[in-house]
Amino acid sequence: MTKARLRIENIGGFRKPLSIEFEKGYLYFIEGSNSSGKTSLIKALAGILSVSPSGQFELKSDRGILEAEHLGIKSSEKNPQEGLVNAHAEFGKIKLEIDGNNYIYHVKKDGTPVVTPENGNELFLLTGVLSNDSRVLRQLNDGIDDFNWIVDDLSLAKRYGEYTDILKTRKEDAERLYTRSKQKKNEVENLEKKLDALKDARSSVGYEMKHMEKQYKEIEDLIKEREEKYSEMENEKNSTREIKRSISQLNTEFERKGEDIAEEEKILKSHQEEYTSIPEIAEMEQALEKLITEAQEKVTKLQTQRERTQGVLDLYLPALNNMRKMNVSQTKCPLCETGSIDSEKLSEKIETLKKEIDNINGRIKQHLMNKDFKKREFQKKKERKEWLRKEIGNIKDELKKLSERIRDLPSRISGEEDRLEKKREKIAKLEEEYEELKKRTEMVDEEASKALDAKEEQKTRINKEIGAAETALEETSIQILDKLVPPEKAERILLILLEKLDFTIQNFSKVANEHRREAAKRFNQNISEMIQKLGFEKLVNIRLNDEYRLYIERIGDNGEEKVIQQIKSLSTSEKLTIALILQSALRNTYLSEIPFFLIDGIIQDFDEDRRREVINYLKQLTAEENIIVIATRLNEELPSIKIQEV
Amino acid sequence: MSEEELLAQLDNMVKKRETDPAKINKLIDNTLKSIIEEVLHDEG
Repeated sequence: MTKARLRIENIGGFRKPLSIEFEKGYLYFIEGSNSSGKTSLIKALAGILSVSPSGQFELKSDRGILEAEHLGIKSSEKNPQEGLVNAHAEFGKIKLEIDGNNYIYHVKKDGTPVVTPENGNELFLLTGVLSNDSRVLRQLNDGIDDFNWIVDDLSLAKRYGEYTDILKTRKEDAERLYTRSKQKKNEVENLEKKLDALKDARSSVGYEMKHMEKQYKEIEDLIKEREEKYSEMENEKNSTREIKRSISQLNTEFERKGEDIAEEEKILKSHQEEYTSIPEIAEMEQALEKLITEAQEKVTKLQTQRERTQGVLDLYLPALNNMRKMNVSQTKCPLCETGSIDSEKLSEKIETLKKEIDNINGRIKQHLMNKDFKKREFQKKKERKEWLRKEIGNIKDELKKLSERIRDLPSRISGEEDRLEKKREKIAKLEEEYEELKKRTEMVDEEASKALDAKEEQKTRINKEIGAAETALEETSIQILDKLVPPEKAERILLILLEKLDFTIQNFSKVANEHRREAAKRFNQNISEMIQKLGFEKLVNIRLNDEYRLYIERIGDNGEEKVIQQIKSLSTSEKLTIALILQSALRNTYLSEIPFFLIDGIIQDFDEDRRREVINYLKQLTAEENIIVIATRLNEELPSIKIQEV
Repeated sequence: MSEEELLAQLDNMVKKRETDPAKINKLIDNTLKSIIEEVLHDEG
């Protein structure tokens, strides 16, 4: 037999640890007087079976917390002492072992969980506990027939509803973004139209500029032509300078050549005069021969004279020597040998003869020297004459050449001067053309430049507007999650998402309704089975209607007709019976896997017959592997756990 | 992710009693991401 073991410490009125064992298939009565701790045991079981692993009560709209507070499992702000934990302890401990599984729940006095059970299920608060504080009985006592929560909060419909709420929130977000995308798409369309218009305008300006540039090109060609003209003009001017230089050189050459001719003619004349002044060589040879002959004759004559004088001297000198040897003063004249001659006179004669010889020698020498001089002079003249003849020939040749050279110069100078004149005329024409081109280009260039600048400015302005429009286009992007998406695409994306969300929402709504209907169906089946088992005589039909309101039919007073029973007019015993049926049906419908069914009080409030029926019914329930724990003041002849007063 | 796949995944989460809204939103975000990629890829 499977057992369940409960151990509590510092729970409710129990400070010391308390252990209780249960076996499945049994109905347990926990008996004890008021404040003996019966309810604390029910709370301990309810608490450990309903606290979720997170330690929180999370049912929709704080329903879990509310129910936990109603059942005294959780302290509330209003009743801080009404929690699970003993008023004198800091925290309480609950341990429940079922089928080898341990539920452990340690909780502080303020409700803060320390250790939580792994398998706790919050639904147990609504399904597994019947007391005057449980929701079913509270609602019956209040006469409220709306039991939507039974099919909504407890079935998966609630979860589907919660999911649907989230999906709807997402759908709303997506719809907002979708609307924004559409607006932005319109903005994009407008911006694109504007961009297209701007781009057209830019193209148009570009075309105009191209045309203008073409014109400008023509102007540039004109400017080029002007520059070429100027260049040509400069070249021509340089050329005239060269011609001038050439003319000047030719003139200089002409002058120099003239001077050279004059000089040469002067030399020629001088040479010719000198040549003429020198006798002909034959004449000079003749004269020289004559002169030599004459000189030779004179020398011969003088030599003869000298020989004769020498002969006399040769007579006188021995005579004188003899006289001196003989020391005589007179002697016979050696020449005539007739007269006498003294030594003095003889000496004088000797001296005179010597002088005469010397004179003759001098004269011979003079003649010989004169002959040599004449010969040299002749030779010189002869050479000079020949040189002059040759030189005159050379000069004449040179003069001929100079004449030939100078002869062309005037015509060349004249030719160059003609060329210069033509160049001047050409330059004048070029200057005229250049000035004309200059005027034209300066005027057109300025106008074209201004027009082109204006177009450039217009183009810049359009580009700026295009840039602004493009930036605005970029800014129309819609942020979806972490991505910036163009509005058109964002619209598509969001439309797809909306379709998916709609599909899911519709399906979930459908599924939630199915769950509600299914839950109501199962719930009503359970009620029906219980009514049959309990064998109620008068309450023949208890069920949730299509609006999930509690519908009760009973046999009328005439015993045949069925009448609708209002909750408010039910007797206390009937309310308790219906509460037991509903609570039991709730447990069977939603949480039959937890074997415990807890009843706090209640039983003693049934009238005796009904109580017997109820206990019998509960016994039948325990046969289905359940443990039913009933806290009661009754002292029934049934197995019971007695609680000592604490 | 198709409509049916999204529905199936969410339904599975409901049945597993998954209550964390962040996980539901994450699944929707992932769906949205795949749509974004699909649309951008198609356009690309």
